Amino acid sequence: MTEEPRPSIATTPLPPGIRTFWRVMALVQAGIVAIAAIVLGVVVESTILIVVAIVVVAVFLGLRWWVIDLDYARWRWGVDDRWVERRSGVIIRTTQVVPRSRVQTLTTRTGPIDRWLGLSSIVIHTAGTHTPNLVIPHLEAEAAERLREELGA
Amino acid sequence: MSDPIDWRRPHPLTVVVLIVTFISGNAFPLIAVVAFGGGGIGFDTAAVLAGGVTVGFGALGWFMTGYAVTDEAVHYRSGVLNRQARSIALSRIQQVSVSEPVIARAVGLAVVEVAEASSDGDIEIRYLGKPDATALTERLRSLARQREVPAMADGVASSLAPPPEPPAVVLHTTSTGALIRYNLGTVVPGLTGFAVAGAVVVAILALGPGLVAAVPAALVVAGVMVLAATFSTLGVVLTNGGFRLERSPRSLRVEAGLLSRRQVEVRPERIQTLTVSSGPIVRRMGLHQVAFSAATGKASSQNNAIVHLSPAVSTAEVAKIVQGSVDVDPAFGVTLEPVSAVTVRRQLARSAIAFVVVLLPLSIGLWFVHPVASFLPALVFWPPAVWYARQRFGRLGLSIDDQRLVVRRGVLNHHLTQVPLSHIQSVTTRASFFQRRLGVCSLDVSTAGIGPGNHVSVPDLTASRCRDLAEQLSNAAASSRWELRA
Repeated sequence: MTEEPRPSIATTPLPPGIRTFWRVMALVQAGIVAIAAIVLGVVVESTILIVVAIVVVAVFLGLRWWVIDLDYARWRWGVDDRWVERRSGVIIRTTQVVPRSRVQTLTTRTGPIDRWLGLSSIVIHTAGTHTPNLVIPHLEAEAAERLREELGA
Repeated sequence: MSDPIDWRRPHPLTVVVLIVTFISGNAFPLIAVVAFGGGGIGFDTAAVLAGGVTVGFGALGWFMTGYAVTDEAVHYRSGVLNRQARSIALSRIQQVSVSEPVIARAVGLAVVEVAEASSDGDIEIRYLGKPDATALTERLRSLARQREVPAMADGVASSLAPPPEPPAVVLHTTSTGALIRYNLGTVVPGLTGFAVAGAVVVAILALGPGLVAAVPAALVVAGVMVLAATFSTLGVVLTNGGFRLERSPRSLRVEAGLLSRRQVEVRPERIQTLTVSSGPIVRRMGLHQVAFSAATGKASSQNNAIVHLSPAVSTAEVAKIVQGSVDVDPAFGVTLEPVSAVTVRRQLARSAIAFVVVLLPLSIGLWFVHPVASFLPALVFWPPAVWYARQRFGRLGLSIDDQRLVVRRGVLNHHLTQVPLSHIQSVTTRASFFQRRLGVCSLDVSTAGIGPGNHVSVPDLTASRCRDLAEQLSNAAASSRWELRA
């Protein structure tokens, strides 16, 4: 196929608000683990368990905090007239390209925290069962709606 | 819809099939009702009750089932308590097939399966008389064809544009002998682990309690192996016996099965990938498996039998089938370019991790038995591991032209997969931390196929080649016209 080289798509970062979302999720998860550890520590009457658990949770939370920034810096998405592209990943870097002609279904997903932050995710389904669907998470609701309309057109 | 749907019921004998199915599915509850209920309400009453429920279930099941074909779609509704209705637009039909499950076959009935490309699965019209089923299948196939946009074809399929229908050509029939040899050739390697474990047990018994215990144990091991091989071979012969692959101008047709017979039709341009594979033993016998991955219904559907097409094909016939089936590179990947040699190091690193986790503790334990013995695991493990890593690199390769991508891989089981570029759904590149350090990256190409074989992955390409390929593949995919329904 004599194709002109694919012009690189202008990519956009995710909205900054997503960092808040990820941090809220990290806090919630850390909170659940910490509470479980404290309850367990109280039940078996072990102060050491509680201290160790809280230290471990704190370390993980700190790491996550740091990774969230890296993650955010790596995450880019872009759409042009022919492709949808997504780049992400800190340790394993993934670039996923879906030709727009292959888009089968579009889903918009909004959770409670999303709604609070005014965000919403777009899921792009292609045919077949192998590839995970291309997800552009937590866009600003208006941008998501625009994207959905554009891709659906 | 202006005209009301003209619902039709399945063949009345469906009642019989439903009753038999109900009994075989609910044997225990039915026996329990008669056995325990007999004490309270008398055996006769309990038996009548159980029989009544069974017959009622069958009759209602038949009564409540309906199917219809309108100008736009196929409709099906069924279920006594939970009613389900499903429609598939004629233009969305991917594949229509007939299957004859053994019970239905006994009373001359068949199932018509209409597949579309969603994961909702097929419409399975249960059950029609064999002639009705064939007629309906033909009708649906021709209706689906008429609904097609004539210009659907990509370059690949347009060359298949139909002149008036010449007769179907038989591309391949599999003999029962080849099926048996193929199956034994694939089952035997799978049984080696069991055989080795059995031999160890027998040896221990021979050294300990003596032959009195060892001989029966050896007989049991041998018996289990013979039974396993026999049953799996029997299964394969029953499901794939009488295998026949035909090529008509517009479709490939498969017919197979001794007890339950199925007939599947797939359009060549809907074939997403084509894979030729062979294991170490069957390769010596000159046998291969040719598999097509099609974009139809749910993965568990019997239609996907087409995925495991032609289990026992001689080397000479592979080329014939492949060429006759889809528009493929006849040489099937003539010259392949290798991946980065770094892949050998990565494979050895994986082996090293496996060694440390599994065999190092053993080595340390053996040190206390005898210092020399502690080297034994390494001596046994590393030569094959090094051989495997080299072979794996030697076997990995790909070729790409403007029509198709061919990927070869596998050391013991060889796989050669072709993907028409026009069928690519998405292209993904991945580079882990270590891969980035080594300057390589993996490429993953997905098609619309369902089930195994619907994608190809090439590990450890050099980063620049990986980028170029991803570019070329996504370009080709985006610039070819493609619609699932064709």
